[in-house]
Amino acid sequence: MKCEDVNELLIPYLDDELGKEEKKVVELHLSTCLRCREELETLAAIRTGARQALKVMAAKAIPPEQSWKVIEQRLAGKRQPKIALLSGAKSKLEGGINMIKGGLVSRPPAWKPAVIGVLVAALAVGLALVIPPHLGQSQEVLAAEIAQNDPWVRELLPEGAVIRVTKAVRPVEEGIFHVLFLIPGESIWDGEDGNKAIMIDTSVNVREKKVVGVRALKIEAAHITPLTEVEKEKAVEIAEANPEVQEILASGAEIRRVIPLPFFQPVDGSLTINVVGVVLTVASSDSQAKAERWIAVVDLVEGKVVEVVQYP
Amino acid sequence: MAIGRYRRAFESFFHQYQEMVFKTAYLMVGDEEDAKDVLQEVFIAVWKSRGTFEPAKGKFATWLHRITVNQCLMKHRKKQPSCISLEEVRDCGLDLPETMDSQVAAELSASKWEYENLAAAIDSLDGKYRPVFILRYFSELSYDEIAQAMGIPLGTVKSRLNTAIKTLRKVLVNEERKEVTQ
Repeated sequence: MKCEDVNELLIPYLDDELGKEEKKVVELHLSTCLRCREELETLAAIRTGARQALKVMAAKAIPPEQSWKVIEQRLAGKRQPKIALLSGAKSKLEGGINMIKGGLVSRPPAWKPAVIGVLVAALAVGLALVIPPHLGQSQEVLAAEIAQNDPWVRELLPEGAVIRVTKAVRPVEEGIFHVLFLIPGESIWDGEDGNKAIMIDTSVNVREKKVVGVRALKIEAAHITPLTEVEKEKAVEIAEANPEVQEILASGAEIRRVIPLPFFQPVDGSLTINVVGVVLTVASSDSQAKAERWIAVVDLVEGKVVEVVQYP
Repeated sequence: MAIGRYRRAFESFFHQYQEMVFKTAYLMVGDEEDAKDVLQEVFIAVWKSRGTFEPAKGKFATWLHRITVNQCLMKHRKKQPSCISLEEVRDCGLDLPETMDSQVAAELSASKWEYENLAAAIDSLDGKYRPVFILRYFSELSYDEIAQAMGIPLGTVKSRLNTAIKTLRKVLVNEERKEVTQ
């Protein structure tokens, strides 16, 4: 048998998947061919290494604690959130939610940082939002209404908790919108966990006018690192280059301040602020009327405006 | 009453196999959230089709793997599992057993560089080769069981494993060359 034929059999040989005859032929060849013996050693090392690497990769994956409850409910024919049932009880909340920690466990999809940033920004400027008015009577508003009125979603919201912000975001799948509810941790946990929050992410199918998925994310309040003057200047420069911001500025708005949006990007235990909010305001001539405000979410690393959101 | 008994038996079965299904799904779909969905779907599918398992046609684990593979394929493979270093595994609080670490060190002389290259090489395997590779070297199924679980001929299992390992070697050799020239 030629080396190239034997080579094709080396992996099944290592895996002990050859018949007796083939095995003998391979062993006979190996006994006389140094090159094939070396090839066998290399393949064996890769195979062993790959096995170990797979084990290490899989060590990261721990089945969620509440999986059985969810399956049990589904078997009983009840509607289910994908991750956890929240009924307001502390015990139920604690088991089945994801902790976004250090960015290493279950990173949120790419759209989330921007959305979370907007939520945090809204809190930072002391606003309690229901639906950003700039959305108008769009599908996004419809999605938010469907989510808010869904009895199942209402059941998930802990009794007495204040829903600080809701925000519909663009669909990641056609027809599916995400509506986020942020519940401050102090209404759920005592003591140290009071600085955490629960974000309930509902997926809404606007065509069918129903909530098709709910998941809860436990988020940790991040310390806000003050921005340097250089960062602020850079943020303003990026914002001013954005056509949407330019339009807002042309309508008479002014850039009032630049605020940090603490994201989940701890590096060596400290936060790196990559994304900041540039707050724009148009003062109303009518003292009774509220000023119009926007936040341009600026990614300093990417050098671009991620989103511009208007607040009442 | 009978249903309650079945459910309890099924619960015990779930706890016995959930880790295997979850980890396999994670390696295949490459995302923890997707793996959670797969975990649910697999056990719902198992419950629904509990009457269809025929011991004469193969082992139970093979049947369960088949359902897992099918659910993973349905889920699509959206992204690769993230390659993380051994340090990062610990940093994310997962308490990698010491035995695992020493085993890795002993058997592989696995420096961080080697492990990361291996993990990256595994990530580079495409959808055709990856499930076969995972079923063989993580789930430790025989070629015959893989053929049953995947619904493909035995010869295809062999050729895909050959290609997968040789792809890993190519990637590793290239990485080694890069390292030498740096």
